[in-house]
Amino acid sequence: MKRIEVVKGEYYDSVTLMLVAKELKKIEGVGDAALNMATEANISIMRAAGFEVENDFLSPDDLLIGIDFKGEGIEKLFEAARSYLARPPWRKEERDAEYSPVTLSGALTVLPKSNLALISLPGRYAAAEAMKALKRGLNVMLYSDNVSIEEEIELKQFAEKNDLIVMGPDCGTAVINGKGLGFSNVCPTGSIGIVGASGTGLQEVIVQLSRRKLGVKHAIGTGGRDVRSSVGGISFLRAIKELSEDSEISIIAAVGKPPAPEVRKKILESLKESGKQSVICFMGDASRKDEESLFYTTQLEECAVVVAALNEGGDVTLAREKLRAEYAKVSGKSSTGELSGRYLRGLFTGGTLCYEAQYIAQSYINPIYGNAPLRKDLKLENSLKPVGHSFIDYGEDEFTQGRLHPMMDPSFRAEQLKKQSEDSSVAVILFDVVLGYGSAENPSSDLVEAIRSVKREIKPVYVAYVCGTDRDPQDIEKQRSLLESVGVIVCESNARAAILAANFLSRKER
Amino acid sequence: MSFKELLEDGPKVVNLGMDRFYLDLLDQEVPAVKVNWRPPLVKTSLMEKLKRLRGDDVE
Amino acid sequence: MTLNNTEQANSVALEKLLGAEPQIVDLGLAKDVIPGFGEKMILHAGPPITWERMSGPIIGAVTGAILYEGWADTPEKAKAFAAEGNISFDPCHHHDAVGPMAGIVSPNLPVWIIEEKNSGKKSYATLNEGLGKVLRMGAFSDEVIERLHWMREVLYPVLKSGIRRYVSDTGGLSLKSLISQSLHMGDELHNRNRAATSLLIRSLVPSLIDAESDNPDLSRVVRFMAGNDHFFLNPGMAAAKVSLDSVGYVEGSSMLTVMARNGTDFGIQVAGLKKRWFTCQAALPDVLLFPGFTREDVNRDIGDSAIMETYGVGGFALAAAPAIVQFVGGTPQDALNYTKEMYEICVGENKHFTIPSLNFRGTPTGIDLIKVVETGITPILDTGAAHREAGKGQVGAGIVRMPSEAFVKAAEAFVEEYSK
Repeated sequence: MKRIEVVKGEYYDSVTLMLVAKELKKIEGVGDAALNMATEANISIMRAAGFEVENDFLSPDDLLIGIDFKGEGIEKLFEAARSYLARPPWRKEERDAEYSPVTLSGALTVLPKSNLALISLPGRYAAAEAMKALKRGLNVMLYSDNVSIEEEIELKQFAEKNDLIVMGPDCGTAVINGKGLGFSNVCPTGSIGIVGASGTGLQEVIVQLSRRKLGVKHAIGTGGRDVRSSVGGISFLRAIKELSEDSEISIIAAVGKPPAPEVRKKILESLKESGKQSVICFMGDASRKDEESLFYTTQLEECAVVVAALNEGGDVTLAREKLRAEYAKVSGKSSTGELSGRYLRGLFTGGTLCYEAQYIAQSYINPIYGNAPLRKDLKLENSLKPVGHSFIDYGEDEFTQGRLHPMMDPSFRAEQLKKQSEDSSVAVILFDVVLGYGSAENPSSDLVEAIRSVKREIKPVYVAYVCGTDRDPQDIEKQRSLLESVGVIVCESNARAAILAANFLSRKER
Repeated sequence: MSFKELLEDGPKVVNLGMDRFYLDLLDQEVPAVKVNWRPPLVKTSLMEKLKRLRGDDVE
Repeated sequence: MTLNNTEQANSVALEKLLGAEPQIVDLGLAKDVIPGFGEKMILHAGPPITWERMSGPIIGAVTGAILYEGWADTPEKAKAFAAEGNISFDPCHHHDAVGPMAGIVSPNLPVWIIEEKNSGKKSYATLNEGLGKVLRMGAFSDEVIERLHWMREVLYPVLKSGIRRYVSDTGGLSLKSLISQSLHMGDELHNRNRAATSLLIRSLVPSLIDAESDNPDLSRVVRFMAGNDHFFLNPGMAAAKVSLDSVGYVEGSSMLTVMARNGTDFGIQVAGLKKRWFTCQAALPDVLLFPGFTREDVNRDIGDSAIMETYGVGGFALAAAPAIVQFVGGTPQDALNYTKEMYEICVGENKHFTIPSLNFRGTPTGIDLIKVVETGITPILDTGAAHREAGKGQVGAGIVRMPSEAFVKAAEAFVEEYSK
């Protein structure tokens, strides 16, 4: 039925009236709704829509509410109309969204003192935006990958000429003056300075330092290709220079994969000239003898241990021995209990954590295949169908096209974990759980759900490392307990987890 | 702002890309602005020509 | 390029635009005053279009115009008359004119005559009929035709007399200052013209009384204008048109001089590319619907009123008229955000049109083709939406984003032109 009600002497904006009509039409049974001030024109419009309007004593200051309702109780609709008029339901509750500019120029009018552009755009646009930023006098942190090496060189050379730095491409982590950029863990500020060519490598060193109550002032990322000869270590060297000149920094750590020979030379020289003690961690490097102020490590926890020893003015050799003894205990921990299956599968979200874990595990078990293997001939044909001992990095390009990084969205890796768990040839599964900024709110939960749902008579042994600090937003204790509640063995470092997992199988092989 | 100044003053960030990074910066009370970036309507080679015509200094 | 680069050329173009002084100087009949107005000619909004491609609202408005002109006596005969090729169709823009919605101008329709004081250039626009069932929305009922006749026979002569009196006493009626004031009174000059209309009537009434106090129709004329919140839109559009026209050709400039839609196509013109049209399909407006209408009823974007945004007002001054943003269920903050976005695609800011809520910052003015293409942001405007069926009138209003293809085509042509 169609009915009109008149509300006398109340003025409403025509837009408000239209919006109330829109809301009323959402209600089931309402065929039509029209609200109009009773001007001559509007009265004709309402009549044309089929409402009977008696215009004796109507003035343009009166409100006409017309509702066409199928069924009983049309009065309720008029009540609804009046309440919508009084309290418009479409008014947003949350704080009005501030304006987000659409260009870098626009952004600089909002925040003129900007000193860094953090760029995570698709690779094919990232370089152009990075150059724009550099030309406007901003430093750049380039999270994006798929930037060509030529573009990288052009950006870094321009930056160098203009006293700026480019961190990246493919730089996922940085800490500047105690503030985390990208994926980073909350750590105390302190007197350590780090330069790193990898994301989770930096994160692990920061986390291990934090465990030893040491804080980081700056952690500068350089991207993985910076130390190639074509790039020449531009960012790496600039970072070392700045850390050297910082009076609040007492120890410098340099972390990454082994650089090109001429770049290595420059790095070592520059560290020696720094006047500070430095610890080098080039993963996969041959072992070298420590020099006067230069200490060589090849693993991330070891790097942190040496830094900590130097910081205390203690004996580095002793500290290393202590670490080795602890590692020996870890290898001893692997139970002789019944293992079902023959293989170790490492399922990782952090690229460097995966690399380091493979590197450590290979001295116990061999060969180790993977999608980011230690040697080309160990590359898997299909990363979703691993064979033998395999380590998969789910942060690799092949998995992140059209998917969020697994540190942000744990669901894909959790699915793979379930699949691997139900493979009867898999005896041990090793994985990382990375906490901190950028990572998911509850990274363990998908994994734990997956483990619970595994259908297999004897499940594989699960070994994990939670890469996080006690200040990270995800509550590291909660993450650990969650994992332990389904029988996961949680280790104290990436290295220890790799040692433990590999030892389960090496013992079995024996 | 030079690299040295960045390290001394702490970061003041323009974020282009994932919102998550921007929100994490706000959590740490880092001054930040997020850009609602959109790709150009024309391909890069054409864009470069337009920029040149505009007078942008192209190296 | 005689100037060094596009950035400089754009500065020149913007200066010219900001320096334009549009004034109402007279009224006349289209056939008598509009340059190149041929016999059996009908002007329409937007880029060039043939009868076969026209959409409902224009077809309806053409039908109404043919009936008004007496070239046929029933709607069916009127449509047949047009279909047989008897009408010479041309864009308003090709004759220094602009029209809102269907934008139809036929020989015997009265038009405002706007003159740009410095260059002497002129522009033309019909008198706004009001809301509801009107010609510009594609309606052609008897009521519509009768109203048009009344406007020609009663409104027009009285208004002309009043304007001529005003001009002889005071000089041309400056529209720039009216626009500038109404931006401070809640108008944005495209969908909200209430303050500008009030100011226009206030300016005219004394002269109307001086010239026509004995005329018994005077009262009805004034009531007509006072009852139409959009009465200012048409002369406002003509002011924008003549100002942009006075920019003319500026070598190397990527500033837009025209944005227009005909219900089927969207078209733009660029100062550095002379009067070439760059067109693509017009947007389908996603707007707030009036009672009784659904999404299926909406016709593609239509009207020369996009000239207001090209001029630096309308959707570009939304922050001055936050009530409009409720059209998309938004908030006053959204109005601010839309305006701020438009700064990023414009050459500069307006000296004369300022927005109180932005600390009297000038409106974003001079749409820059290169910035549009670079940022991926196309202009927004707020507009009325017409029913796709001829004669059914307006179905809603809201904020519409212009389509990108026309800008891409213009950018390609720009590079081709200036890479020689």
